[in-house]
Amino acid sequence: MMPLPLNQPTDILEASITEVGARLRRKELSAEQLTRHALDRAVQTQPMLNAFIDIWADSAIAQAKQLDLEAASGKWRGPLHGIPLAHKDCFERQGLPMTVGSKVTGTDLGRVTATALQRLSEAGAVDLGPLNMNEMVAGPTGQNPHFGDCRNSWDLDRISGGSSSGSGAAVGAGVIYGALASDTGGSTRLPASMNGLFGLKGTYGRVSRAGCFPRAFSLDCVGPIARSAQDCAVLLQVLAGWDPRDASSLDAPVPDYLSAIATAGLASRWAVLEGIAPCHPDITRVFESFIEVIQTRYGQVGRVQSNQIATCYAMADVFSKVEAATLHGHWMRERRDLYSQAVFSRTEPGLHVPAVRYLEALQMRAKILHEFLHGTMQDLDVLICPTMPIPVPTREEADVETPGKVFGVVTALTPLVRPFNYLGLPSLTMPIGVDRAGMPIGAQLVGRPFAEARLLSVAHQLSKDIAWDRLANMKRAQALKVEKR
Amino acid sequence: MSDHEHQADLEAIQVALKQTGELLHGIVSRSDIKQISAEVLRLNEAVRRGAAGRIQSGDHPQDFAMLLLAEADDTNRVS
Repeated sequence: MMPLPLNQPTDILEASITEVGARLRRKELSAEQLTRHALDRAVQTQPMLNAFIDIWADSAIAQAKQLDLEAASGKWRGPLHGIPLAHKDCFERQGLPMTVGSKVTGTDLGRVTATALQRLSEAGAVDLGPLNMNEMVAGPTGQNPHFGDCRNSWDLDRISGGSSSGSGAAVGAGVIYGALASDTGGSTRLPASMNGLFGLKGTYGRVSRAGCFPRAFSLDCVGPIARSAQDCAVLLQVLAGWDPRDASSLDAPVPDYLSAIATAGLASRWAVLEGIAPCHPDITRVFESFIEVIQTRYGQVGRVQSNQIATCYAMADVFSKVEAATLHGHWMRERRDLYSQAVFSRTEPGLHVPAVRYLEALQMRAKILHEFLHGTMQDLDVLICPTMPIPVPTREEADVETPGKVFGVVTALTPLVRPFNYLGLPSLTMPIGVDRAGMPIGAQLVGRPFAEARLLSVAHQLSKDIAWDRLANMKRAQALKVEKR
Repeated sequence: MSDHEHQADLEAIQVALKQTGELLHGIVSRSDIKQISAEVLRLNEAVRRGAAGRIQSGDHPQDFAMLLLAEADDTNRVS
């Protein structure tokens, strides 16, 4: 397959949200022009990437025209005024269809627009339409037998990551400036990492889940995928905060993430979290070289281990399977053949886990978090480990519809990310280099509760230190693949 | 647990799960029951071991949300 045509570095779609926002305010371009340009890029890349479930061109242009009218009368909605975004198709839009990447939900229409979408719209974002995802928010690969697989923006023969596959692929391909994703066991961080992007799973309760279709309400976190920590900060600023519509939303202060990006990470105390899973040698090499960069900026980086991580993984797995089985029970009875084999098989164990185990996992959660914060993270602000222990697999390697393969693929991709959903801690993935095939490698930064400002700040500084250049690396990956042929 | 004991457990649980899926939930399995059984045993054992002897009378799931707020990073403030 031919490689994806890349944007030129000077293309407006490659600029930061802050920069584009400033150009819109200076009236150097209109929201309509920018939206049409993003739509052209979406249409150009769709046959190769399959990042969108649907491209809502007419609606997006209508939104952009309205925003231009408002701007002409001096009304600027907020920091995203005129910025084209698109979102994983698990967020309700009132009166519009939401597929959740599945045929099970059919043509059900959204009842009330998701709070996250409402906040983005109130801040002026343009919505280009629903993005592809793993069926029912379940799966780390981007494979979808109903709407077609979403492909990796760096190499079309590799998986995009999931379950927020379209969010990773569309942002990675430079179609949109950012996207909403949701994360139950790595679903924001994995596609972000596999597409060389920044992805933030905030503290549990930081961003409202109201109107977001759940995999497991005890774990799900809504968050942004974007091309820089700064863009993530702009998006989080709009999204974060208590929501009366979400019972799990937490009423904590919301700092000015963009202003804090220069300073919130200063004097952070770091350690590498080791011993979770053996990593591929390419990942270890790039990761250790990144640790040297951290030491240069922040001083000594220690090494710690935690004997609770395996327990956290299992307890998160129980939440995920039992809560999903509870939600899907009636569909598994009545529409069983409409599920993919992988999702049905991954949900089935949830029917059989004893209720006592589920409640033990719930009741132990605070205790384990307390021990983690006052043990493993004692006197530390940031833990770091790779986001994935293996390089980005090919689509063939990670085919979860092959009988008997799904549990192994999930286990191989998620050991470093899922435990932090159980602990509820903020975790951000950032690109730190490439493997021998030229594919991106991500590092996961984990903070104490509500440390999003700190994580965004250190990621911003370190990304500058390593002079991360997504487009140049994508170009090199494409060249390496041609050479290999 | 020896391999032999594990195998015996796996076989016993397969028979049970085959029946409970339909009898208790009205859901007919679409999966290899051996694989589902192995997954259930693995999760059950891991959680049981993690919680063994540690549940106390005052523990409540909502403690978790309270702890997140109480342990907030000092950068989470409005300047």
